[in-house]
Amino acid sequence: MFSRRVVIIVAIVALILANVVIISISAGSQRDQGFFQKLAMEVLAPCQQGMTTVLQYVRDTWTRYFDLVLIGEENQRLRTRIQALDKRINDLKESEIANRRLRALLSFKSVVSDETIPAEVIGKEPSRWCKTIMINKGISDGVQRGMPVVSSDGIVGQVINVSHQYSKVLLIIDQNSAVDALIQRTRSRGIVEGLGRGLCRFEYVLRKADVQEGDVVISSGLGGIFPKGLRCGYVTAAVRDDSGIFQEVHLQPYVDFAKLEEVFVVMRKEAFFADGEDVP
Amino acid sequence: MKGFLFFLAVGTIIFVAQTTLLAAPGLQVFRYDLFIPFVVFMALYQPVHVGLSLAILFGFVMDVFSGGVFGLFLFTYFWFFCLIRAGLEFLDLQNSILETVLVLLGVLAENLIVIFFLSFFGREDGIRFWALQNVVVQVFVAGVTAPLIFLTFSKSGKRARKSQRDFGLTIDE
Repeated sequence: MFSRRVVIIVAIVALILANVVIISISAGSQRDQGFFQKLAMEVLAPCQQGMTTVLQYVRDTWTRYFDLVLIGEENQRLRTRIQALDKRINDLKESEIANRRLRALLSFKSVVSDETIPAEVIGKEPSRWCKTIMINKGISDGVQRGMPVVSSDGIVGQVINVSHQYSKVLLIIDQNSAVDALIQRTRSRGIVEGLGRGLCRFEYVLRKADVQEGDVVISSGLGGIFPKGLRCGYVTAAVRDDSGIFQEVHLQPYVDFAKLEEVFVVMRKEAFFADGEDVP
Repeated sequence: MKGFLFFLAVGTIIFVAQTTLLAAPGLQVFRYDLFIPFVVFMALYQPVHVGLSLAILFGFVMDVFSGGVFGLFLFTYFWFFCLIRAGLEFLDLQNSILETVLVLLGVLAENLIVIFFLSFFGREDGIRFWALQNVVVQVFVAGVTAPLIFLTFSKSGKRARKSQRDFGLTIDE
């Protein structure tokens, strides 16, 4: 009755209409999911979950790797920054210490009436038996042999050799050093001599002179080298023998020669020695 | 010439270390004259013209920077070098025990010479306890460190010679 072609067309149109109707009905209702839907979900969801987990793991690993690389770089950057900050802190500490030292030196400059020039200690005695230091000021700065060298703590020593830019200073603790001095409290005179091992001896102090432990010994200014009133050290022991006209007085210098970093060369014109003359 | 320059650099490093790093308060106590092992090494293992010239040069430098009697180190190194060279004619001194013994003798001799001159020209009335203590410490430290110093000298010398060979330079020995 109907041709085959007409039957197919009608069937297709009917299916389309049926789909439209079913979609319209299901869109309008909120019914529970059916058994097969649930089954499908229960079977496939774990696979989804597994795959998602794997993908998440790969993604996390990938991200963490890059994060680690970035963190490593950041760590390095921070370490560099910490080092720079540490260095800065150290520099600031050094500046603070230097500042205190220089303030002390500046206040000391007002004590010494003569012109002074600051110098840095650049080296120490190569042998253990003598006590000298090298400073970074020489002939070009006006330094000459025989000039006194002092610090804010007191007398350091005396220039014994000069080159164009450097000088060698004989410390007062050297055995060949001598400073005309007096006890600040009683004005008893004597000569401060080095003992070669970080200490001094106050020689030629009369036996009758009143010397007590802790007495401050200052330069007398009479030697013609060191300005008057500079501290040499303090008395650690005074021994009076039964005989003799002098007493034995031991001194501890105020200057810590082991930690000496900056000194002042006193530009005393009258302190010069003629060439060849021995330094007292 | 290369050997001379190499040990000139080594000597300079020793000098700078001795007057700065080793003169620091903590290390000062254990300090002894490191030029003694240097001179012994020069006398035993280097040609006369290299060793003697460096011994004299660094003796001079030490005298310039030291507050002691000028010439003390110069002549000490000179005579020490000559004595060891003369000893080489009769004895086999080139072994690690005798090297150390030579360093100990050198340190001891140098200290005694310095003490003698200080007593003679200075005010120190002979050898006192602290001086003796000073010498004992120096000799002890020298005894402990001398083999290490010799090892360093000989290793660095060999390495320097190898570098010279690698770069196709002539060897000055």
